[in-house]
Amino acid sequence: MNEAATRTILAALLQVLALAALLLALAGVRWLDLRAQPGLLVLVDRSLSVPRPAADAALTELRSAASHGRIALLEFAGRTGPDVEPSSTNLEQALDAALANHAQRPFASAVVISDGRTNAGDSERALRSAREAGLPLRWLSVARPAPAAWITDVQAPSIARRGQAVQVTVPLGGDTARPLRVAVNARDASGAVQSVTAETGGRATASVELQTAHGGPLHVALTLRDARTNEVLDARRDAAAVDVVEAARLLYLQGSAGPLARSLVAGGWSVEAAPARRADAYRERLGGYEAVVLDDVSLDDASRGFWQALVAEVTGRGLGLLVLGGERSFARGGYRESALESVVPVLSEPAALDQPASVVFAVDKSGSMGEGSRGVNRLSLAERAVLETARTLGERDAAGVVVFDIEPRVLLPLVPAATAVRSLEGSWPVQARGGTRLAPAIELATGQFAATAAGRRILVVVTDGFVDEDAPLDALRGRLAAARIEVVALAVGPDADVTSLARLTSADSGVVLRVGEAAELPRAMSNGLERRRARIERGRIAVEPVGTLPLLAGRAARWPDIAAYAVTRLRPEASAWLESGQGDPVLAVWQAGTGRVVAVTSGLGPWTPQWLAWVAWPELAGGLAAWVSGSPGSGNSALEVTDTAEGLVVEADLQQAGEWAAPAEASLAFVTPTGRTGSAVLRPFAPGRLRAVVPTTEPGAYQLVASSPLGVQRVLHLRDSRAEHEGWGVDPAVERWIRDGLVQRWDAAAVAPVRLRSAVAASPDRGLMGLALLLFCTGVLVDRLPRGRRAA
Amino acid sequence: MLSFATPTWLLGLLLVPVIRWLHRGGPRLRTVPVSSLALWRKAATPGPAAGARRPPDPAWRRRALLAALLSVALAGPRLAVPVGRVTLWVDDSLSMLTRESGGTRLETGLATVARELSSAGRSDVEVRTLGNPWQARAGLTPEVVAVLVKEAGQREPAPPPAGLRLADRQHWLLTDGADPRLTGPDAGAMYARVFRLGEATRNVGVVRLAARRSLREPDRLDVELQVRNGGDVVEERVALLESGSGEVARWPLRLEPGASVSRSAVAPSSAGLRVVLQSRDALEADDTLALDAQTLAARRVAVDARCPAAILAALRTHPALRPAGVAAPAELAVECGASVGTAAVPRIRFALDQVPEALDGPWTWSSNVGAAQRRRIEGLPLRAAGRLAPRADGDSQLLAVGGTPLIVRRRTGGAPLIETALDPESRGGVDRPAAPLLVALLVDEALSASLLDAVAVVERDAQSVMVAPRADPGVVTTSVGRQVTQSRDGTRPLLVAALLVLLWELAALLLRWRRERVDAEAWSR
Repeated sequence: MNEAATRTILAALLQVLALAALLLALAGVRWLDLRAQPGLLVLVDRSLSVPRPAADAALTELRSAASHGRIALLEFAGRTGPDVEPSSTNLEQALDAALANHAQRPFASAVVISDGRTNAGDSERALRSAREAGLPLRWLSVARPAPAAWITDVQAPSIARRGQAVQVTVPLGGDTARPLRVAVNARDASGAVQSVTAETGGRATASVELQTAHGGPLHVALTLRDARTNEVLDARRDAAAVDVVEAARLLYLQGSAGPLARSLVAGGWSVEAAPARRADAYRERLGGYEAVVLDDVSLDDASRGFWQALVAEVTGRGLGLLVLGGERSFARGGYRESALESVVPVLSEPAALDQPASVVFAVDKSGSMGEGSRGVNRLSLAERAVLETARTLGERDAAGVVVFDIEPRVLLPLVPAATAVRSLEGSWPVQARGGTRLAPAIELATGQFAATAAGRRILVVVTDGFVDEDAPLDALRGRLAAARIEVVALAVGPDADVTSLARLTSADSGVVLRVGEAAELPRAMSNGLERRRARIERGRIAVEPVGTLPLLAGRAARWPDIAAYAVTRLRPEASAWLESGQGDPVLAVWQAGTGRVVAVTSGLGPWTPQWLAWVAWPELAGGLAAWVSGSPGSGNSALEVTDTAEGLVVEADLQQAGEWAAPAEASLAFVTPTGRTGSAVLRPFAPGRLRAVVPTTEPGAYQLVASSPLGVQRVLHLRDSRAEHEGWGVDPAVERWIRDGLVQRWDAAAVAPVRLRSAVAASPDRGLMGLALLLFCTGVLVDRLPRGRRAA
Repeated sequence: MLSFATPTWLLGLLLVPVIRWLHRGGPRLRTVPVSSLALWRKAATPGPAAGARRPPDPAWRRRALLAALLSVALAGPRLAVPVGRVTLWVDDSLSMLTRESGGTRLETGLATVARELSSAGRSDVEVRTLGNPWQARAGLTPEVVAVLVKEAGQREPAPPPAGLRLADRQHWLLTDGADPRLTGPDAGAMYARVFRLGEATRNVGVVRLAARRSLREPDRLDVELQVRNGGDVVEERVALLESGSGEVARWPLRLEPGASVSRSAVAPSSAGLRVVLQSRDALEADDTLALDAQTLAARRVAVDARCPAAILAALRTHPALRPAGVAAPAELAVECGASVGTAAVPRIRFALDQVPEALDGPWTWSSNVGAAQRRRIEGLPLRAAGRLAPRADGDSQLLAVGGTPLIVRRRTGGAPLIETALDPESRGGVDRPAAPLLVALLVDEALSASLLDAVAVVERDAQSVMVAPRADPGVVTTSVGRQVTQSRDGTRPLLVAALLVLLWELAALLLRWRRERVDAEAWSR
């Protein structure tokens, strides 16, 4: 055969090969073209009930069986995608995602690797949808085998007090005769982890004891192992959550000695009591308390910063606040129009100008009141203070002035206030000189009141020195009390004898005000007098409950009388639970932001002597503390949390006066297991029931606080993965779905039909077509390239 | 319209000039052996004139055609062809039942679509609803129309699921546009045609009716209803609440546009409640809402007469229980030594065989007991008045105090059996008597229900009472969308053509080879 024939036959052979490639391409054979190869969508169940190694092994098997096919992977559990949320299984969502993928780029088939133990969504509906959408489904069953032994339950208290040992009991099932070990890991709010193990010793139960060193949620995880082989037989990642409470820590600031703090301590409450004057020391620590009790506390007891911090904690964090009345609180404590008053359910009334008052100013004119080393003339400031204070008096008031050093003298007898102002506008005919003797001045001033008519009698004393040692202070106090004279003593400068001045007054008949800088004297005097004139109703006062008190439901139809209360006005948004006969609020509540605030204008002490001896006193004291601190069980609201596939369904049941309450809505604040905070609105759902859905599904301990006008409820809720731990093996529903034709059972041989069927629909393989072109062109080249020179 | 999946392969057409170039030398000449060239002088083939080239081998055309066919086939040609198959999506929301001139919006719209399909000559039509998209119905026949009208308003509609947005079909939508979620940008883009209709803009509907047992009068129901004005003007209605025994309450209502009002009443216990709005409007379907209150009905309980008075009193006062009679069998049995129920009935068994003693130690609850149930008795000064048998396999300890089991759920194979050793005559709290709370807890556990907290609620999506079309209000309108086409793969015909050309080429080669072989043999001779 010559060269031409050889080249021709070679070219022909190449074209035959090209022909074969074309025929294969037309026949639908798949070779190199991934695009044209059959698509297999694999849905892998990554929920806790499916062992990951087994699922991975199944996936490997599937990959090798379908090695020539395009495989797309979709992992699912509670959610579908990269963040699967393994504590639940939602096949419906996974199949919906698969169908969405299928609609964009058709797959020949989908394979589900799962145990079929779905606990969210409607799997059957989704399977029917897949059939409707023309996506053939195959099922590759992977399931957890029945362990030799398993955890059947986790028994733990829902609430424990800090410091209290928590016992966790773990009943076991299966072969409990073998040596088993239960390992408990408990993580508290500080992040500290306790690890405790317990051997079962052949019993079907294991118990461990956990310590509660910190308040907040104690999150418990369990692992059951074979004690011999250390093999993990069962595990619960979210086994239990114990709400470790600080026994509702209360900060009790005492302006005057009241019995409530003692009662609360006796009742088991965790109370940190402190004098009101030390309040500033707690400014940065308010976040550690559930509630604050202000027992007859004056605004002057703490700095402005403390009050601002307190208000922010109440409105923002839900700190409870109990404000108790007394001689030093409400209007007398300077609450009026203050930051504190903005969170109190009652408004302090202005000074009772409707009640006439006779005011005598006793002004020290001793040498020390003259011009001092720093150029401050205390006497001239005292003159200005008296004038400005006199100007605040009403038409029916009277004013007089007594000045004193060693001897007193009447500078201005008691005259109508307007006349007094005119008289005092000029310069006083006095010079600062001499020593200080208080007793004669008090005597003289007391005498000034003798001629006055009915009305309040107030003696305003201004001094900067020591009270004479031999002054009969107790006797003077007695005389003042007998003459119904109230005292406002202003101790000016650092040398003023505050202790002796305090002996002139009692809690209910006067007040001593320290004036550090003389320049403050005018303001301090007018404020002090105004506060002193604040109305306090005294006598034997009957109080009436308004409806049924949530604190003492059905208990106290008849409340004991009280001896006094600060006259206040109820805020329109607040509720009065107790009223005086005159309709003034005695016990009032409201919601300030997220915090619950209670005001007791009578206080719980000297003005309520009968309450302290009352049989219901312990319940009243504890109930008030529980109410403001939002302790579980307080009030007439209950919070119920249910786990659903969409999130947490939170329902609050509210009662008021023995009926279902119907607030328009309430607020819900929550903290997720990962520390994320959020809020939602609880809206009416049924009589007395509000409802909200918190759209979060991560497992673990949630802290929820529901706030409504009727109360605050705190709940620790464990969203656990119990549904994933109950049972093992493949769910019987899978067999039913196979029987009903919704899915087909997977086996390796099933890949071939998949390939064949998809080949019909898909484009011919481009790899084969390309090969045909290449072979053809080579044949042409072989045929047409110039010949070599034939040997001669 | 022609398009290519991977147009890069069209570069393969450059092979055509290459092939032409390869064939520039003309056909391969035969070499014929002769004894002497002188004999063949006259047979000499005339060569090309000076400066002219031989014509190329005509085989280049065949080969270029084949290369071109394969290159174009590799580029994946796609032909856009109009889609004839139609999926009609029917908005079956409540607002489509609004009655306007000539019938409901749904009836009018379906008639319009049917006419349109008929005039367009479309026969391959499937009908799906937005409320139940996975059920396909073939054609818009009178039977299908009747079913659609009958089932409308029962399910909440949603945009078509992604799995059914198939590209090989035209998607048409029939809607009134009252729910903007259904025709939003995401869903709206898929429709080739949208039939939007509706002119009424006024409607008031009942959106919620809820009931629960009254706290003050346990044999009555507290009822709450909510009415919404879904229209665009102020409306006045009278709401009528009815129970099985007649009218319970009526309220005149005045509603601002878009506003809701709630009303409460106390109704006698009844299996069913109904709210009716008087002064009906174009959408009558939402003027009525019926509530099945059967779930609030009291359960029948059989009680062992030997039970302590505290238990008997607690059962008597439990608002969700009533004594079983001869005619009505018990749904729950309470036993204190004697059996009063069968294994098929949930049972509560009190073990009261010891002198009561105070409980000491921490309370340990099973995780199977709900928080609401725990709260009922937690913290009460309860006592134990008996001892429970040891826990058997399958039993579940619900409560233990100080390690002593006090409430256990026994595994019986039948209905639940709850055993307790708690003393029902424990003192309890001032306003928390022990026996009723304990009984309430046990009843809930035995019946796996929260009887005291039960509510019955029926509600409609607040959006469903909005009837005003959001766009194009007025008479029936249709909007024609884009021309829907389906791309058809053109590779296969090209491959078949290439195959034929290749066969031709092969045949030509084989013929030439045979000739050349003959020539070669002649040479060898």
